[in-house]
Amino acid sequence: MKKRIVAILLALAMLLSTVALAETAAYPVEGEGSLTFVATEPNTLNMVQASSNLDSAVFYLTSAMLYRPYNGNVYPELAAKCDVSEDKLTYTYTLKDAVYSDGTPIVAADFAYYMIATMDGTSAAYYKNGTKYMNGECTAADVGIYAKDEKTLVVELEMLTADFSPELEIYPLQQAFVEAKGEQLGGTPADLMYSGPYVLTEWVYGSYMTFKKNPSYVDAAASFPLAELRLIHSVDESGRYSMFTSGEADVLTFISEETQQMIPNQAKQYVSDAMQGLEFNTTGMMFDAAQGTFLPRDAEVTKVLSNENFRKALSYAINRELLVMVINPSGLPVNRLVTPMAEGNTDGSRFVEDYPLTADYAAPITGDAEAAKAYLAKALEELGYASVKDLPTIKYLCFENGAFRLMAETLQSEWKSILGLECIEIEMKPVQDAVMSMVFLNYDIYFQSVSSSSATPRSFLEQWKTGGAISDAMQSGAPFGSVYSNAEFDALVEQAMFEFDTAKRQALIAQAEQIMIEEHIFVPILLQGGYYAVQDYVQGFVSVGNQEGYMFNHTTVTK
Amino acid sequence: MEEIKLTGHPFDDGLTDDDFAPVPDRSAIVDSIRPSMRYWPEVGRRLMKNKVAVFSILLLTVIVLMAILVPILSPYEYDATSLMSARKPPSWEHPFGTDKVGRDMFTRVFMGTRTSLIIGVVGAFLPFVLGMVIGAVSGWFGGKVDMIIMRVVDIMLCIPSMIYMILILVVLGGSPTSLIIALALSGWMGSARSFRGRILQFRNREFVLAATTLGARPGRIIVRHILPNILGNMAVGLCSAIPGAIFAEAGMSYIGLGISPPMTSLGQLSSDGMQVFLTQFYLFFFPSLIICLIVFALFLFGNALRDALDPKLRDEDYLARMYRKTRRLTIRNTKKEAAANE
Amino acid sequence: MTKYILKRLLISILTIWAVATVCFFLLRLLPGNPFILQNPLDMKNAEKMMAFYGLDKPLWEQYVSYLQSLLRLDFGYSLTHVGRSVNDVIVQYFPITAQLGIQALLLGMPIGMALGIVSAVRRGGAFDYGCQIGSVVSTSIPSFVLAAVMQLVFGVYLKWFPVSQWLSFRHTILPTIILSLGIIAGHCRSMRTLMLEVGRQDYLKTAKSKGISNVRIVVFHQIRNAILPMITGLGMEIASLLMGSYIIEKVFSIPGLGAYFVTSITGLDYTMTMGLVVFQAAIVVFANFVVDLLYGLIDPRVRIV
Repeated sequence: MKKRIVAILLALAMLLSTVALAETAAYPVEGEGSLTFVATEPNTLNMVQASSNLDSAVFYLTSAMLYRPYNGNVYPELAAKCDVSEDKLTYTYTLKDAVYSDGTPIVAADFAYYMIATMDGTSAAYYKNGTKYMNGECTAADVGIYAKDEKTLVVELEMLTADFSPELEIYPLQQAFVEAKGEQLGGTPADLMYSGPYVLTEWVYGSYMTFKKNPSYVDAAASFPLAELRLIHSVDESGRYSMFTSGEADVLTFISEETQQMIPNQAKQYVSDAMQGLEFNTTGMMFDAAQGTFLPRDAEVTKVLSNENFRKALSYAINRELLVMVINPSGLPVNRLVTPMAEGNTDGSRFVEDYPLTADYAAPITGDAEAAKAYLAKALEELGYASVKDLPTIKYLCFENGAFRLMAETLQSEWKSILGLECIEIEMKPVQDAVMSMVFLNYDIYFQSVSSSSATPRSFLEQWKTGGAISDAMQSGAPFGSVYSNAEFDALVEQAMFEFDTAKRQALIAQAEQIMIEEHIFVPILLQGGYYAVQDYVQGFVSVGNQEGYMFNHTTVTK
Repeated sequence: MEEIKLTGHPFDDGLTDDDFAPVPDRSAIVDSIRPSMRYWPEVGRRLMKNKVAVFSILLLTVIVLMAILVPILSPYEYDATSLMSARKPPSWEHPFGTDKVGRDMFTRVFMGTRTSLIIGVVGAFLPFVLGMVIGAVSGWFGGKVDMIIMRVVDIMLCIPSMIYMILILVVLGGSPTSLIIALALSGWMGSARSFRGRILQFRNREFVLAATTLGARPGRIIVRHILPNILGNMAVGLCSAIPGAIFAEAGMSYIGLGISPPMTSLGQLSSDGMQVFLTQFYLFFFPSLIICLIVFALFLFGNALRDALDPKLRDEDYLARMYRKTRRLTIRNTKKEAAANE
Repeated sequence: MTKYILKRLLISILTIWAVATVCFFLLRLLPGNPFILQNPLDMKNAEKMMAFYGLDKPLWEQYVSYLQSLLRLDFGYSLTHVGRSVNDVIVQYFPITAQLGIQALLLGMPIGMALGIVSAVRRGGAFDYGCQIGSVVSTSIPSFVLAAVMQLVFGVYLKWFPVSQWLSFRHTILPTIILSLGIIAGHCRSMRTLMLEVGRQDYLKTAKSKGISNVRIVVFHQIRNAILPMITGLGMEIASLLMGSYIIEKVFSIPGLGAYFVTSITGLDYTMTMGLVVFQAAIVVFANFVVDLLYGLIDPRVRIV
């Protein structure tokens, strides 16, 4: 059974990649034409320490990959083949012949080094001895990721799970180079090795980067036709708009809604995988970093927030559709945790269609003022308050970030006008302070943004598992963002991890989702979206579904 | 009588009859040349005589009245969102339009005017006064005290003010009071410097030496003798520091340190409007217009106040006026005499 | 003279040291942790990074090692922009910021002073009021909006200048003009005030009664004496211009230091902030030193020795 799924996945991947390759004509190896795009420059090109999407967007250009994602699919790049062992715990990748731009061959050890060097708590759990290594209980040599010979990479899993995807989107990274460069790694174009479609030739911090086509890239003849790419770093909206209208820029990877209104014909929309919603601190405690202990929070506020009907009242009062249309029109209003894009039981179906929500436990997208009032009345009765005026002051933690303040002000005003609540107070903090407060649970209500970068609904839900990624540190004494903890939910998510039958797994996930929605501790509101703009003479530009992503695999310019 | 006209004189194009009129009887005006006038009433009188000053006071009064009355009388709450009527351009219903989430901008702008007037005026005044006191101490006592204070000023000017603003607000929490304290503690250095320079300028002047010899205390000398001499320029400086404070508040709300939402300020409204000024110009225009008007009125008022405050200027103007009056009198007398002679 | 210079040098070094010390400890008082900010959900990574950069050691030890590297003029590597050395950032981008600042000053100061002189001479006239209104409007309209409008008018519609970037002299024109507007307004106002003040001095009356022409009086007596006090403020002004303008750099995508000043503080990039602050302190101290020397040369009444 398990073998079959892997085989299907692999076959599918092969098929897709051949389709992707077949679609495209051969391009000259040196490339043709140039394109200028506006984006935010990466923070760092140090592969070991890079963490943001901005960084990986550049690695996508400068580095070869074992498997390369493109336009929603993944196809093998340096992986010639992948053999799976009988017990499906060992994956053996055979590499194609490829070299870095300086002529050194890319070897399996470079991939192994990259994987081990960039391992984090979540990814480590998959690999043999990964968690032990992270905890310092064994050395890197004991981890189940190693190079058998120059062309063979072996990956051994700790245990069999339904989540592991063998199409590893990893880069080669030469250990000797990393060690030779030390702190300088990734600082300037000379402090990088290039195996990808482009070579970074110039980087003026805060201004621009120039990429030249790399003829030694393995797929140089079949993809990335442009000879030169120029990234202009601009974080200013009117500057971007001016550059686009004056023709200085061919692509804007991110524009605001206002700019979109001015160039409606060139502007395009995307929906990202970042889910935003309200999180209620029902734990009644916060972490005091100075003392290293937990302190109790205001007992009365905790009592109110812990009342399920109170939280429901707040959630039902929100007209998500209208709210999102007004504040973030590119976003998608949601009232559930699994994103509408998630795949369903059969090929082509969607999870949200296979497992629709029922009205009795989820707030409708357009809100329900009457139900909200009823829930509030029930909550007041349960809590023993005569009127809404007696409720204690509840603090909504917020920081200045795009639409966050506007969201807070609007929610406050809507709750006031629909429910008559005057007890919600917005607490603005500088961003450093706000993030620390969020991490240490020093808030009552917080507008949380959760990324579900690994598209499966299960791994998204897993973030709320007690001891999962978000609440990981609860164990080690330092709390993290999530306040959610439910044993039944945990069990379902855990069970789904080892359930290889798609329909059964999806059913478990749907059950876990329902539990979480019913509790209304994390209340989803929208999936963040955005706009980008492409000039009419640019063909084949693909924006990644996150802020400022860009893919030029088959982009051509015909002026 | 034949008219005599001399040309080519370096001082004047020609001489008229008046120049040959007899010197008037000064006994009539000699008592009133320097009527005993207290300083402040005199300042007030001169201010009220200045049309520009009156205009600026009227303008300020109107703005203050609007800031008080509009939020009270408006049918809309400044913080009440109305998602159905978002992004409406100016109309009779919403004279300044509505913002992204449908709040009436007319009410919001004047609510913001309240905040900005308080923060702008107090936030400019407090650092100014603090700087004045420190600058005066430094300039008057000189020597080691001066050295230490000036080095502290140098050091504080080198450290980005954002660092202490964040620190102060993290310690005190984000309230208008802590905002003003943050503005004061991070903004006094400039005025301390210039005030010190002024004190040094006057320290060795004769009237100050005279006061010292007569045994006046330093505080009295600075307040009674030096201050009136420089108050005028200081008033202008103060008025031009107000837009700085208004925008500093907006800058601080940008890093999450301003007044807590849903309360707003002109600086915040203007900076929010800046982001959309190409598509919804009115969201930027109205708050900025009010800022411009406040700044302009204060600037004119500051200039008028300087003229009114300056004791030297007072003498000059007074003498000039007296001179003109004398001439008029003389001419009249001469003409009368001439008529009588005929 | 040598003694004076040596003394000033000692004070300068002490000032820079004091700035470094105060800033070092103030920065560490800011709430938060640079690595948690980058990746709020990964506390373990943050701890690892803190250890890697030696930020987990006692503050005192960190301070001593910072001072040691400061003595070698090594500002270290940025914490948020991994791989960027602070020294490199300063060496590469300070010339650009300095060019912009100096161009703006060279353009703005003469114009501002000329406007100030004319409005002082024509006090109360239409020109004077025009200048005053102009300076009020330019202080109340944020440079961000001016920059955006100029970009649209001169870059997009008229196509006279490029919209952004910093590649040739033509690219520098728009940002220079916008940066100089503030300088013009400031200098116009202070020059006007100083001119009027000087105009009341007795020596001008003497000059007038000696029969010197009005033009001569304005040029040789009034302006000369009015310029002197302006030099005192020049040191600070040059220093702040040399450290860049965040907004103008942002709007025109100019690779300058101004942006780092803001982002490194909000991102808690300790090494970058420290490097920039210490560098700025050095410039301020040096500029003030030069101005004081200059003042002694120009104004015979001031003796510096």
